Amino acid sequence: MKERNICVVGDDAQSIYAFRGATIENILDFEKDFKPYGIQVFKLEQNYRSTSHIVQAANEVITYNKRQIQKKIWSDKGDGSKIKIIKAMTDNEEGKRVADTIVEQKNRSHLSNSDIAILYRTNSQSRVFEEYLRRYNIAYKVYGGLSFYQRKEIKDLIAYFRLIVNPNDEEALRRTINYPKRGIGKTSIDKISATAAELGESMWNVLNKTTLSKKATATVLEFKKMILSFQSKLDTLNAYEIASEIAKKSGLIDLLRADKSIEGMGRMENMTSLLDGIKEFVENDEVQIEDAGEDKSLATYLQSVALHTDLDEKNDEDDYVTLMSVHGAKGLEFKSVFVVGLEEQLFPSFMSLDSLEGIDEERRLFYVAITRAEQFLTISYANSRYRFGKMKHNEPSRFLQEISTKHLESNTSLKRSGGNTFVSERAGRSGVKGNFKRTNINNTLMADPKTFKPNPSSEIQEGMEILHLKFGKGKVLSIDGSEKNRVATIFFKQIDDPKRRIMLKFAKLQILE
Amino acid sequence: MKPYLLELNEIQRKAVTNIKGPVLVVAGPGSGKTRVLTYRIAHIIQQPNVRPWEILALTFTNKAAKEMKERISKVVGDKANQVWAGTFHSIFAKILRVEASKIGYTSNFTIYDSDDSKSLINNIIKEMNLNKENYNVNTVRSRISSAKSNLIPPKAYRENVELREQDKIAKRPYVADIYEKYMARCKKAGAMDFDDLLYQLYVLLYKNPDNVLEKYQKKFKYLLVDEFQDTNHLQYQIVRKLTNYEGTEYMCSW
Repeated sequence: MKERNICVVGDDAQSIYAFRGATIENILDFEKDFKPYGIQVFKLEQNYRSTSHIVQAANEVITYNKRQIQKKIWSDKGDGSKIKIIKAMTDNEEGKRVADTIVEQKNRSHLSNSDIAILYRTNSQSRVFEEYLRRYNIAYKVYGGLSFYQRKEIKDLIAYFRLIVNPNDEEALRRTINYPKRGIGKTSIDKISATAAELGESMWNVLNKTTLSKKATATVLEFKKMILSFQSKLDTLNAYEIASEIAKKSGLIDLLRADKSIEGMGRMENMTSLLDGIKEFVENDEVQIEDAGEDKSLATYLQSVALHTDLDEKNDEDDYVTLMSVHGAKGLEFKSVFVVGLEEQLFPSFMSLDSLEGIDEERRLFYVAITRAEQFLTISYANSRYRFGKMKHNEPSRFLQEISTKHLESNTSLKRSGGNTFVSERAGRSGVKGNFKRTNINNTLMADPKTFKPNPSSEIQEGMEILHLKFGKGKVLSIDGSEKNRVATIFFKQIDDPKRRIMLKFAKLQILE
Repeated sequence: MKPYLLELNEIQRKAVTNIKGPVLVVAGPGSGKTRVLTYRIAHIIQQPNVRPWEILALTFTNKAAKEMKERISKVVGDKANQVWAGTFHSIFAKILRVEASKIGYTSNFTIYDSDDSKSLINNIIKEMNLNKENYNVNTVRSRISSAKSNLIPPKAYRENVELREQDKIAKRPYVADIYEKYMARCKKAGAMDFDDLLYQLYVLLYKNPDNVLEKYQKKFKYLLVDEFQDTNHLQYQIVRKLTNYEGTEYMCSW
């Protein structure tokens, strides 16, 4: 038979699922593989989403990858804003300054919350941003936690559905047989499982062939009877009717209702909302893609739940700032995007550092992140942050250096005062991958620790010129607070966000002549 | 020119109207990928002698499939609903339900999520009295998962020198046994995990060249894949099989 018509669409530069088994070679080799069959290749290179600084920065970054399909993405939307870089001392400060910038953008550029996204490499980074957004009263939503269908109370009910549709389903049986508790203990379940193994049958099929205590036998048979009675209604009741009956008669609803804690009420709400969802599924007469021509049975519903994909959950109705991992942001776009935590070990992740393929994958991830932005792109990093319970110092990510300074806001030159690190010009394109010379290990410091001699903090007075190990030279503008908790407001001219409030009790400051 | 073609730039239009395959569309960020894909399908539907259910479009999310259908229907109306558009997993599950008996399943099979898989693997490890440290459930699961994704059934896993060596060094020589039991238990339970939806489909097509593979090859005259850069080895092999472009044939003893 002759070959069928095949058309594949994709972007090798956005291949970011190697950890799930994606094979980038599929697209890289596709042209070669299909050359004998007269393949035609079309490259869509005009970007209708972003302004030029963003597009060009993305082009620059991706050229550092080893293997790729050559393309030159361009935009005719004008140069647009340059990329803003936020250098923070700590992750906490990063959170604050990102939130500050959001407030500023909302005011100055009239952005709504939903125009804005904060993207990070790992979900655990969301905390500091949440803290400041909450403090500033900006609505936000974090994606990537436990999805609705992964919650325990939801899975408990779904397990009943599964068992009714397919009684041989061993995991569903194990989950439901003694939940809610009916007195079928671990020993009984182990015995049932052993009998099943012995007879080469499913656990369900040996429920009444297993020798158990008298009481356990009665309970097991009672359970079986209940499941069978639900099953007998599969053909006559629709998914919603049967689901409600299961929720009630299994005892799951009573169990949740009895729990009056806030968490318990939340779980009850989830259960109700699952049932509402099933009702909607039943009543929705729009023909669905998956089940064109199919019925409103529990089995059909179950299939749609089991194959629910994480990305399906985002809806755009309410006005909130989006917080999500870069992986989660694939395919989305926002007027303003903050890509945060651009530090070695974090982005690129420490797990990727031992191979060039690993770094290339991280670079594609960075490429995906920055190309989500339509008009405003902000990239931030912190010199130190708590990770796994320890304060860690990291250098700025190598990816930052791959963007030429002409695309960056002028006042955020990557050069630091005090002779510190970070060469902003590229040291030639070839052979530099991952090989940048980094001269300074103390890049978080603005003063030389060897010559730094702090004065007792009681000597610090208004108007003094002082030196701070991290923030450098500064002038004490004012001092307030109680005798024991004196707080100085100091203007540090060498850093981005110069006005700082310093607790003198803990501060180490050297008075300058 | 058809009105929807006027919405496209020159290269987009070429990608839409050159319906003779094979075609690779390399779509940069924000370059109108979904528009091209959907208009290409709409364009194909409007060719003489093409019926919408002869088109199979595979995506990675339900949202993408739904959006695609909505956009196609704006051009061709109700016919859009007759296109086979859905995620790899849901389309494959649909085919598997129809053909289940040919691979020893019944059509009411349920789907194990990753927690179910882990729980089953855990039980098997316990029943075999294996050391929980050497047989970390996540590691075992990911080895089974990648074996399936590379079309290595339990028997071939056992015979594979490289895999055996790796397991030996990591002090977990019985992974092949766990894998074998895991597959048997899933089958007994009438359950498929996410990898099975691909793996079992490949087995189905491979083992039934005349009565199944040919049927679907004839049915799907046009096959389109979205986000092709995210496909794994197995997805690609299935796509090649369905379109009758044979690559390396995987000769395994199933």
